[in-house]
Amino acid sequence: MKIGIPRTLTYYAYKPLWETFFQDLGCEIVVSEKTSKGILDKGVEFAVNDACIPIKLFHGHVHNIGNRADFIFVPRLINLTGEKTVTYCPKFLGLTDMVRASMPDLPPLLDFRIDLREKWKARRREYERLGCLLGMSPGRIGHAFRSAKRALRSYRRRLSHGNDPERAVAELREHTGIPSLPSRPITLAVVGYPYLLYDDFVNAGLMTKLYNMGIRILTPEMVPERQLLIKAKGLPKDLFWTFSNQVVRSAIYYIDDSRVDGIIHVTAFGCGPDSMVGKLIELEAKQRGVPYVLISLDEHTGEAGILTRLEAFVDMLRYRRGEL
Amino acid sequence: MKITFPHMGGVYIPLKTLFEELQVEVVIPPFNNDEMKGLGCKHSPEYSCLPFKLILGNVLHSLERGADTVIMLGGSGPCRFGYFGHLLNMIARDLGYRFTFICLEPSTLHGDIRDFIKKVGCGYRTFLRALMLGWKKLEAVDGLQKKYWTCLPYSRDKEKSQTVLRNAVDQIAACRSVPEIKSAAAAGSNALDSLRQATDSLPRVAVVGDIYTLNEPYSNQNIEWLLAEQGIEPCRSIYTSGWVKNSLLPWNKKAYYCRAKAFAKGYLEDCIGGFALDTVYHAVSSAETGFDGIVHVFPVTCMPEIVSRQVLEKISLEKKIPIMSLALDEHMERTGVETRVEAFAELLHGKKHNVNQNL
Ligand code: SF4
Ligand code: SF4
Repeated sequence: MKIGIPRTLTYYAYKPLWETFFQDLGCEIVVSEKTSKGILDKGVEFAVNDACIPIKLFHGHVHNIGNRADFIFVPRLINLTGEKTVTYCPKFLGLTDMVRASMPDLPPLLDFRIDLREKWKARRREYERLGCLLGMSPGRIGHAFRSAKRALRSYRRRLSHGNDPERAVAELREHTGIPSLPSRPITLAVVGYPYLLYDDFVNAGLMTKLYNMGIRILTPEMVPERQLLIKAKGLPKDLFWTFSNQVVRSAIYYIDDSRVDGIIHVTAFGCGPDSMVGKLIELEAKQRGVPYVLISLDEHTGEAGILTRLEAFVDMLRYRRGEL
Repeated sequence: MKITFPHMGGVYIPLKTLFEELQVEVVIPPFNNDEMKGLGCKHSPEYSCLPFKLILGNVLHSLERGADTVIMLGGSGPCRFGYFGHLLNMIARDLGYRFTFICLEPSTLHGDIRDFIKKVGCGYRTFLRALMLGWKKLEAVDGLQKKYWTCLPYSRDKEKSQTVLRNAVDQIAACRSVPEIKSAAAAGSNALDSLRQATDSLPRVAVVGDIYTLNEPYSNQNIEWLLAEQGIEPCRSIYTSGWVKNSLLPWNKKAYYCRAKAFAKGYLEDCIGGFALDTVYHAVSSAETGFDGIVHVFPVTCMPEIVSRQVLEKISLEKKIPIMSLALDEHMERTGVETRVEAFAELLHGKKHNVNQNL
């Protein structure tokens, strides 16, 4: 049985979770191709035009694996942390419904509903439903999900040592190093959602450009989870979205971190949660006098535009240091 | 203590009543207008939704005029509304205002109210009586509004109907007892009826969307008025009082959501925050109860409504009901909206005409 997984949104953050889950169930995984112009165009075609670019891309990726898989995995991810008021962006929660509404000719969707706040009974019911779809016993599904969670935990630990997801997964097999850097490199915290930071097409090669400029990059995944929880205490109220919380907390962690020269917040044009996240980070950075720049991505973001902005920001930091 | 709160349709009436009965001074911002919008937009994050911008405008305006306490509703997501208060607080403080901020979170509601009562120095009794009086006013005003919109397209003199409504609402707002409210509401309702003129029945559309945009005419470009002008009867799906009854009272909540989920089945399978489920529910139920069209209004970056917008397209196809979507932000041009409403109205009238001829 072939399960199609779209390479976006939850893919980057939870890749090992999904992979282990389906391997454990004995399914074959087909991941959609890397984001490209073609995928984006398809996404624009299927999604409403008020949607943000990641959601459009998701539609494109679903289309991309549509004819190569028996099932398409569109999880309804509600809560993976067990924190009470925390879920995901409403667009994540309604993803299955969006895809179902606008893309008629698809293989059946695997809409696994994951809410770890729920009681055992409700979860069991969900395993049963999924089991029915796949023709497997609920016990087997529950077992696979538990081992998947373990895999995710060890992956997280690896991430906090400073590797981006692609590399962290490779590291599960072999050890790869971080590229060599100048002796006192400029250190930037690049904060934003994993599906923006690690998708080279959407962010117009932002990360690679920074690497090439000889900059040390820190990302939200590199902050140990315990530190994030400590930072959370300083905020008036937790945000309601898992990824957003991670971004805000890690940004505050980095603002406090004396190694960090500046903060880059990467956001999608029109992103709802980020209107709050961005303001929180901006106010905090302003108070502490840490340089901060917002980079907003949309369908028309070009490599040249990003490069100019990054260069201007880095030059400003060099100037502050007295290197220019 | 000088207390203030942002506008949302008629909620200023019960709140004003509540605080005045408790002898607390109230600062009410002017009704939403371009000044409020400008003020809010200037200090809001760019992508926040229009409701936030207007609310921020309201609060900043009142703070400028000497308010020292801001009261707002919190919430537990997953839409942005629950964080509005805190963000607003941070922005206003960053601008140098100093004030007490009361955020009514569902989880700490009892404690908050107790503290408030202690601060004001009134008894529970007085508080409850004032609250009840306010609530009755809200119900009366919403009932009258509903009546007004069903009568307006049939009205002989629309301007006059509007004046009648305004006067009646002002009267209700000034009442000091429940019987007074009742008679004021009845008088208003009769006056609206008397302006009605007998004609063929006009097309009816359900206006769906999030609560703020629906109940705040400034933020929806006065869509209901535009529809009525074109001879279409608008029917707002959520009124504030109805929402409080359905979604806040614990004994109604479950039944309401069960019903909503049953209607939304196959379209939206889960509660995804904001008013997406309500929107889908009302869209499906109005398609099934013989409405001629649906108008969907929502703020541009509203996450839940973007999901429901995509789902509504499917509903439109499957239930064969025309839908007009209006994404609203601060740059919206009035003329653009007018043209779209005109075109939509023409479509509905044409359809209705055909049906009538075929009968
Ligand atoms: S968090 Fe922002 S970018 Fe991500 S899906 Fe939601 S609105 Fe889009
Ligand atoms: S429902 Fe939409 S408009 Fe209302 S607060 Fe949430 S995101 Fe903003």
